[in-house]
Amino acid sequence: MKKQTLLTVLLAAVYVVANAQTSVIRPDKYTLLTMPYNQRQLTLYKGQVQANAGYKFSVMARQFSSAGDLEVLRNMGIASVYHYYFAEMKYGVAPFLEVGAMTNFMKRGVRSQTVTYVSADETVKVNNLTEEKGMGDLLLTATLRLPVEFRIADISAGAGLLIPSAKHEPEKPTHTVSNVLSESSYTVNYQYHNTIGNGVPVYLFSANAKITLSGFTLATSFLMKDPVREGENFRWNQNLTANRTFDYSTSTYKFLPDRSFEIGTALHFQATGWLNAFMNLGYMNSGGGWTEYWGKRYRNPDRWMISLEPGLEIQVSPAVTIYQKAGFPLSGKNTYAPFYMYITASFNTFAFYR
Amino acid sequence: MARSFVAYLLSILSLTATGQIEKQLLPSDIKQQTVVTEPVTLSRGFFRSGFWVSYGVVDKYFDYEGTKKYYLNSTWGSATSYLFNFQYGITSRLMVDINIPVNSAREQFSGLTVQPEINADAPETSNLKGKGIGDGSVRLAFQVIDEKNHRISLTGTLEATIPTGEKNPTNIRNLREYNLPTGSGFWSTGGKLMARTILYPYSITAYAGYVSRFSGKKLATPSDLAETEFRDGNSFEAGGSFNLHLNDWIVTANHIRYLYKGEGEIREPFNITVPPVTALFFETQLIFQVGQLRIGESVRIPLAGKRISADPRFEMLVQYVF
Repeated sequence: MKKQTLLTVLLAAVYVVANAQTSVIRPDKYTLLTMPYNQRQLTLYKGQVQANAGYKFSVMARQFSSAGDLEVLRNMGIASVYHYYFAEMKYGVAPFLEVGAMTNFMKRGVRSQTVTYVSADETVKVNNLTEEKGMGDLLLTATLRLPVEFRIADISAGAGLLIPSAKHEPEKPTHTVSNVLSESSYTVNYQYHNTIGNGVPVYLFSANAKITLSGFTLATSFLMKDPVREGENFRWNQNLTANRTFDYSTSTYKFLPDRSFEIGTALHFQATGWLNAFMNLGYMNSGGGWTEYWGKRYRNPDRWMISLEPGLEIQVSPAVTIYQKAGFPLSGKNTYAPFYMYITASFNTFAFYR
Repeated sequence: MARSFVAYLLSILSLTATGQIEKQLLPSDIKQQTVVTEPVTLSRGFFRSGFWVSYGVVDKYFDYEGTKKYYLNSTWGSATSYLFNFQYGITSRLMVDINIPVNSAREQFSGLTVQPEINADAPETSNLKGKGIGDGSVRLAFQVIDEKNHRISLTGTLEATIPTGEKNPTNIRNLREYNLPTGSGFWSTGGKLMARTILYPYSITAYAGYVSRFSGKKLATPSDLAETEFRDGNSFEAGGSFNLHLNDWIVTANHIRYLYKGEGEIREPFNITVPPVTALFFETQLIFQVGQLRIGESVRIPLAGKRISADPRFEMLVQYVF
């Protein structure tokens, strides 16, 4: 009898407990996909898949000298344009963990000043163009954020590795001789074709924070890239032959890529649910690397730049968001001072979540 | 009983028939239509003004064989065009369109001449700029097959370009210092046929057109004392676009355009034949419709070609319907 009473009480208790369990109320996926920036956590939501593709067009018409002065490259005829494309996939493994993979492609041709050598015997004009073109290295990242629901503030930290998947050795040059007016008057066109792979693995560490007060959000970001080890590459050397063709040879050299830091502080304003406007003040610094020339190591110049980046984030539909950003250089040293425009289309979905 | 039933049935039918109404679009609704849903020509009495800015650089070109190449000299150029556009709907099928461009161009060269035997260097630089009104144009567009009553509309356009821009270099100080011309120096006329269908949220267009260019006279080089007669080649173009509503007020438009420009000539005393030009462009646009205001941005990418620039052009536009 006692046993029966105890069993009945136990079953009743189990029934009560079981019924008292309420399922966690999770917002529907459309609410999550259309979450405005000021209410969104720093990493993707659990199960969220994000595919991003972007294009950056940059005009390198000016540069900051080693003294920090602004030099106008177009007056020297050596300005250039830079086309950069990227593709990225991210996935929210947990509400506080995001993983991602990214790669890029870029192309650019940099001209040097045309020099004409005039002597009693010869007049030789020399053009020099260095093309940089190719796929970038594959970047794998993982980002952790505070495992609490986002209310007004959030912090995240991430790590990644740039795997040297892209080619870093230069292609064979395609130098030519043109405009041959006579035996002693012609133009030599040096054309080098470099690739953009790092050639060595590069670590990446990042940290982000944001704090929201009503429609305004203050966000900061930190990114550090550091090469794992020194690498080896080769340069092409050339000899102009008597019949105006070129003989090529290579010489190897060692190098260590620069360590770089990027720090940004952005003020965001959520104008409406679908429009977020922001202004980012960015600082970039790189240095510490070296390159070998004729067996001797020469330190790479230290570079830094401060730039201002106004931008917009436009929620087009629950799945599609467009990001637009322009960049204006303010000051710097030993670096190009590019004006650039950046547009990114972002596609978001929940692959395993109805 | 049967008669009452028939009378009842007839009254029901009559109610249903009169209950059919056609959705009436208010003028304010029409003014807010997007590039996908708007009429091909402006509605009668409507006025639209717009402002375009387009920017491109001189970095690469397609050579005679169609290979994309960088310019090798230490030169740099850029061209910016500001276009003021006015459109007016004369009738619901006929529209007039006036374009007034202001062009700004820059060509810079910097070289160095080294004479080792006398240990001397001499820089060579030129910094040419030009700014001013370009060649204006007037266009008439007429809906030959109107889209109200047909699934596919057909619109014919006639266009005339007027050489309002300065055709010759001005303020010539020497061969490396003068103002670049902002106009072409010749008249041209052309026509185009465009078919369009709307399958909401998409619209698809296809077109073909021909432009005939008349002879003109201008200075062939800044050092010339007399103008030379020349004639640019006539051109044929064909293309199409696929436009899609991303949401109610954002549209993405994707254009493909083929261009063939025939042989031109520079007459006495040069007697030069200018070879034909071919090009295939892809242009993608993002257009935001905010009430009667339209804001857009686009990039035009030359995919292939011969004897033509291979650099992309970027464009921004603002339009407003009054």
